[in-house]
Amino acid sequence: MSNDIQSQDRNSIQTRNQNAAKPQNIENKARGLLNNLVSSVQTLVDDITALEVNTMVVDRINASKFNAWEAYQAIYSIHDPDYFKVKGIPKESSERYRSLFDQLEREYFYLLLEEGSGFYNPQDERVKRYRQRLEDAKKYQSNLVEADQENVKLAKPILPAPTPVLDDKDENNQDDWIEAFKEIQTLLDNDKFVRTLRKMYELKAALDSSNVRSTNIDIIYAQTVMQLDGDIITRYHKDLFSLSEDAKNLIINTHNQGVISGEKQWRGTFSFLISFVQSIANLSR
Amino acid sequence: MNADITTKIDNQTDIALSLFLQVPQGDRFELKVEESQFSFYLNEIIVEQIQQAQKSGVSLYIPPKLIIPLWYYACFSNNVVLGKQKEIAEKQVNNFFYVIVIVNVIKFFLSKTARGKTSLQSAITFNSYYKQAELDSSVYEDKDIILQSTVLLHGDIFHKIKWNFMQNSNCSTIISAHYWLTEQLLNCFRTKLNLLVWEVASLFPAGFVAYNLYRANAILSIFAWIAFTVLFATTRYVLVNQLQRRTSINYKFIDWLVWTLICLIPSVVVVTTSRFIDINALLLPFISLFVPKVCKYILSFLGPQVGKIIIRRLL
Repeated sequence: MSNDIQSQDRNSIQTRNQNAAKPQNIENKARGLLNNLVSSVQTLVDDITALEVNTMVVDRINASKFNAWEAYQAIYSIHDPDYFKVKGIPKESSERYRSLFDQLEREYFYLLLEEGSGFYNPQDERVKRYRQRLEDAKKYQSNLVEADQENVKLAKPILPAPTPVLDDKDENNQDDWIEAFKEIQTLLDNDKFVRTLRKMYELKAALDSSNVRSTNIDIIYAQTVMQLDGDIITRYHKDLFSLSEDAKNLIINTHNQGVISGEKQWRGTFSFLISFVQSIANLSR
Repeated sequence: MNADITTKIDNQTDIALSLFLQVPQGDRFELKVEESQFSFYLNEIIVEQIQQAQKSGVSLYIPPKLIIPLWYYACFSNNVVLGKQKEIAEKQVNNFFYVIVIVNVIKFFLSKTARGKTSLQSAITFNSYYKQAELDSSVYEDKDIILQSTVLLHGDIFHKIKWNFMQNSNCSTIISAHYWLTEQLLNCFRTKLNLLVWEVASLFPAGFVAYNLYRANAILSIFAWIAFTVLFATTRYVLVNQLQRRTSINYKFIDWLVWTLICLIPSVVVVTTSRFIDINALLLPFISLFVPKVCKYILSFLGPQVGKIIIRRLL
């Protein structure tokens, strides 16, 4: 029922947005799309520093499709204080979940500070609030490492709420909802943010796919990071060595194969995108 | 609750493409494409055959119609925020999937309501379903997914293995089959689409036959020409498909083998009717053999030109 209301809300906002936007002509539209594609590939090239291959062992795998909105909602809800109680997640593993939310929030926080990101606003209340809270925290905790990126969570919550949430401040907060909604919409257009969101969502899905109620949810058994400058680092989880010999060998073998094949898969896709953009460039010359 | 939202927010045409891929020298297995998810439906026999193929180093034939959705989903994503909300009761498997994908691409460019910003598809997912016995894909359930590879383009790859599955004695073979399949599928990014080459090439032997049969009537011979072209093109298509299914010949050779056959038939016809000089009948197969090569060059020259015109009109 609540979903219905929610989607109605969205619908009305959407129609309003549509009415506001002037009809564009097809040429501009297509030009915009192609430009976006090219610039997406560009940011992709700029941002890649390493290739990371993770091998996980999970209780079940589901074939759900990625949906940015839903993923955002899923990650955002971790922030809710009652989240762990409702899901029955023990304290030991709640930290793992919370770190996903924190990472996403950090990404957003940096967007607020990054000039030209589209979210840059030095006067932003949330940045000020963070500063204030950092100062307060410093007072109580003398050995606080100010530069620690973990501190970003002090500014909590800075991510806009995806579902209408009740605010203590004012009773009639519909405008806030609409504001938050618009902000998420632009946020989900940001390549960098969506990228972090996607990764967090995959990790959350992996966490969820084990028995959430058990304390043992370390599921990344092996991880290989290939830095573009040539360093290759492989890490194994210590639990791997307490498994039976067969299982251990199987996981290590699988991981090694996965690294080789994953690298090929990724490189294939990547070089395809580059050549695609190149051919567009050639055509429009 | 989540599922509810998904169906409401999904603004992409929620359909799946189901097609059968042929393991070289083996049976066929099903592949389902749903947005950026590719699912393989495997069983014991198929995995064994894949192992054979891996050993002998043959590659999997990927039909060109799969390349279009692959390209599309690698390039575009709708990070769905809002859109026309459709209630979809059931995902339908549609044979015209790739046509719909193309229509989607066009709609995407033309629609005024499409959101201004498109971003790259952030990932491609491969799922492997496994059941011991050979069964229809509808029998497979979510719990039969034993392996999942998610390739996030910005440099993260997740391989998930199901815990229970590791007890399977066949496990490592199935895992390497899964990796092999994903590699084969992604290899087709590199293949160049040679659309229409054989169809255009069919014009040549068809024209030859038509010219010799109905020289008297110009209109009739044009009709005959078109009819023979269609006939040759379809025969070629059917033959290639059948040979792929029934024999273990590498698909690169099949094309040429069938083409030689197609060229031979008209010359046989010509010889038996012997309504013109025999030297023509001998020349035909030799000339025709080179036609596809020439067509390829011409088309690969024309393609970018057409693309240029379209892009210039747009930009």
